[in-house]
Amino acid sequence: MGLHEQVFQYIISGLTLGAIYALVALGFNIIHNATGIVNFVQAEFVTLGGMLLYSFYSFLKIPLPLSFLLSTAAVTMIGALIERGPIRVAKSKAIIILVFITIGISSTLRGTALLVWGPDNMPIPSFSGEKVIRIFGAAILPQHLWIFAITIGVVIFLQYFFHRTLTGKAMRAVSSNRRAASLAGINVNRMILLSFAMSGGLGAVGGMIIAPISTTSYDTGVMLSLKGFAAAILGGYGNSTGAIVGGLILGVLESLGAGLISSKFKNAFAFLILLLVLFLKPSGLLGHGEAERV
Amino acid sequence: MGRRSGCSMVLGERKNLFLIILALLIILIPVFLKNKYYFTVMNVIGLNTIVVVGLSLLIGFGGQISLGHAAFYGMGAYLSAILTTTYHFPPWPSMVIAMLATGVVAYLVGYPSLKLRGHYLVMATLGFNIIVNIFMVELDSITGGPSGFPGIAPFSIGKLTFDNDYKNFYLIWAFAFLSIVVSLNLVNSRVGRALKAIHGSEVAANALGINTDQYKTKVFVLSAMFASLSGSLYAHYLTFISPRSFDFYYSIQVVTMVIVGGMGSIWGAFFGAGFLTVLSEVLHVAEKYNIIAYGTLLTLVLVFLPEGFLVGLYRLYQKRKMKALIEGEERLIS
Amino acid sequence: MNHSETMLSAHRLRKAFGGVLAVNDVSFDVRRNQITGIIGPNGAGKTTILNLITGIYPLTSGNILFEEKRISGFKPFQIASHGITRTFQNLQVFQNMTVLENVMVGLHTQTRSEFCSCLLHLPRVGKEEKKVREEGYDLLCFFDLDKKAAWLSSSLPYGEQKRLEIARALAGKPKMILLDEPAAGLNTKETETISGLILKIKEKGLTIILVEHDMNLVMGISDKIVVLHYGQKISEGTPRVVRMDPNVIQAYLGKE
Repeated sequence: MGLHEQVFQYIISGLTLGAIYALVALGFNIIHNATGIVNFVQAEFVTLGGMLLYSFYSFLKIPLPLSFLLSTAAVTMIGALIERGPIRVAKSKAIIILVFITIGISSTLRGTALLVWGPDNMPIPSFSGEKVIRIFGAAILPQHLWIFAITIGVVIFLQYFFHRTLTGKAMRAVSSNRRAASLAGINVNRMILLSFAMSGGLGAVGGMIIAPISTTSYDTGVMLSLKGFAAAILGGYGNSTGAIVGGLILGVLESLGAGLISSKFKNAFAFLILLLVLFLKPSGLLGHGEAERV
Repeated sequence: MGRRSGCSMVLGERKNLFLIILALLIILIPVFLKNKYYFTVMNVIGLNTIVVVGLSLLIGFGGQISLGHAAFYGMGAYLSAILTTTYHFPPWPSMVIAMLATGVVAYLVGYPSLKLRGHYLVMATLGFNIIVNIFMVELDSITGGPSGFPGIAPFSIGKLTFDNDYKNFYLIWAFAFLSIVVSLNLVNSRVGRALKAIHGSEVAANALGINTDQYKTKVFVLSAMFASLSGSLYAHYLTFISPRSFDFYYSIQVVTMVIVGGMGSIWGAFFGAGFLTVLSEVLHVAEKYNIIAYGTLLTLVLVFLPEGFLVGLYRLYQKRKMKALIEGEERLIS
Repeated sequence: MNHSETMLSAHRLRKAFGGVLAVNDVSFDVRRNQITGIIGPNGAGKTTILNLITGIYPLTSGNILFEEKRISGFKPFQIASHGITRTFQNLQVFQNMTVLENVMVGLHTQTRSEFCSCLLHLPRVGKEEKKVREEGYDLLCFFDLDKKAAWLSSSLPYGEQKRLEIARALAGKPKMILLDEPAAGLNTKETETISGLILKIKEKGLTIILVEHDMNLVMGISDKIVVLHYGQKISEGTPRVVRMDPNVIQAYLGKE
């Protein structure tokens, strides 16, 4: 393959990865906008999406579309339970305590996954076969197309939800000004519950669509979600367009870096970019200075 | 009667008494106890204590969270290992050089990060930890790579070599004791108050003449240097180190120790280090359960006893006593 | 030693937040050892002015001179060491510390021990601690809070916490103190206590800027009043003059 084709290949795989980062980043944003919390359980949302898909589809042989929905529903429910349980009950509402509660829950869920599924990789077949499609010399798998299609679908759905439905607008109101929203009659607690549930669903979808072409084990979600968080910061934390832009850019940069510079330091790229953004322009590419000092 | 602050409630003002008791325990335990396994555990508690006490200054008093202290711990370990083994430096100066180098790196990372709001610091330190860890694995010609760095000489000062568990016990606990003393000094001083003030209200602290950026950075660097010191001792004790000991899971563990012990208390940090290290050892028997147990414990303590294990339980006990008193009085009246 | 009449001089201050002009071309002087009141309807920019003086917000344009030295552009902690302290509208007492400790923090600018000396607990640190503790306690006596010195400040009633904040601001022996709505949330009796307290502070030689909503309090003790409305100065003068200024009356009661 000539250099041009190589670069194009890296860009394609980078965009695929980036789509997942974008989904994870959107999940982070939704909870952060509603509550100010960084939700470390996002990692397990991603992991559990993939693991449950394995259990429903590969293990129990339930047809794929149904497995997909069941898995999404299950993780959405887990997200909701986390909010309803530990987060709601917590004696201290200090943000830092809540963030660490999510770290604790993340460890608990990861430990549970280890016990239930063991430490090994769970293989999941591609959604519609492995026949390579060639576009401009680059090899594209059907799974890549699924990833793009589903991500675009999710983004369109979120766009519609947040701008055209009453519930979505209510959630935006809570993000903007919680007290005013509650005075306007919005049930803030319910919106927060919903934000956790939606984050769960988003994470699960992200975990599932990448599962066939990546490893799926009890701690897969950790790296993915950390990089998704880096993507959110890159794009401008709290900003949904930023999440998508950040995710795609991060994915492409990481892929190009791994391919052209060094694959050994692949994982370091995302975090080096994260540190650069935080030190130079914390508000990210599209942010408005929210991250700056109070 | 108004509420007294948590720690002074539990311990009273008799901090010096506890220091004397601790010193006596340190001196006397090896005389009476001979079980090698217990020594290993106690030495690990000592090593963790140094890291956790330093971290407690940052978290409990400076009000900043770092999820990257494993990186500083690892830097101390690897720098000591490399300087003494590859370059044949003596251990003492190597440890000091490692501390200074770690301090410089901490300054470079901390200064820009600490200007950001809370959770950005968490992410910056976490990202830093991951990067350092990757470097530990990939720069294998210097670090030995994923299989680790073997053959580190034990710590020595002149003719005195610390090459078994008992001798290392004294070495490690001498430093642990010092780190507690020094931290208590800091906490009960003008600087300690300034740090607590920053934690209480950064804007008011600034308005009273405290250069909050500088203080936050300094306490971050100090806590990193504590971790580096402990890492050096760890390297010389185990004579073998590998990157896996310095990943962000360890960072989470040490922060958990601070929180469970009670933020805002040096003795609490010591308790947290001891309690969770022992717990980890107990669970190591069933290694599969380690993660879930840690996670559940952290979650439960944070949800129900956010002021820390000891302080939280003490307050619960006090509430029950008050309730019983009130109910008793009501019965008398009626 | 500077003994001029003007302690602080604010010259053509402007502060924009995005598109909103919170402070628009405001100039005024604060005279030594006087109480200068700043009043105005909600949103007039009073607290913003205080934040500009204390360096919390950077000025969009204009400048501020303190004792004829330019302080605009300084960071808040630097301004504190120049002798200006303040209280806050939304009470920023250190809830995680005791009453005495709060005041001891106030003495930060009067002491020197840094990290290294504190870690090693050098003898000079011990001496300084003793001094800080004693001075802090004396100050609490002046403010009638000494009996609660060991209490956690969060367990004090609201009125006493406000007093504590003032005590803390005074601990650093400032030349000028800015009080941001010290009577907010207080009943009549508590407000009278604060009023007396402010006058006692003036007697000690300090210069005071007082932002307040309580008209009786401000009119009663101020030597001069500056009136703001929508970020602009609409009146300045003694309480009597300001009280009868038609601009002021209109601003508060609305157009006829």
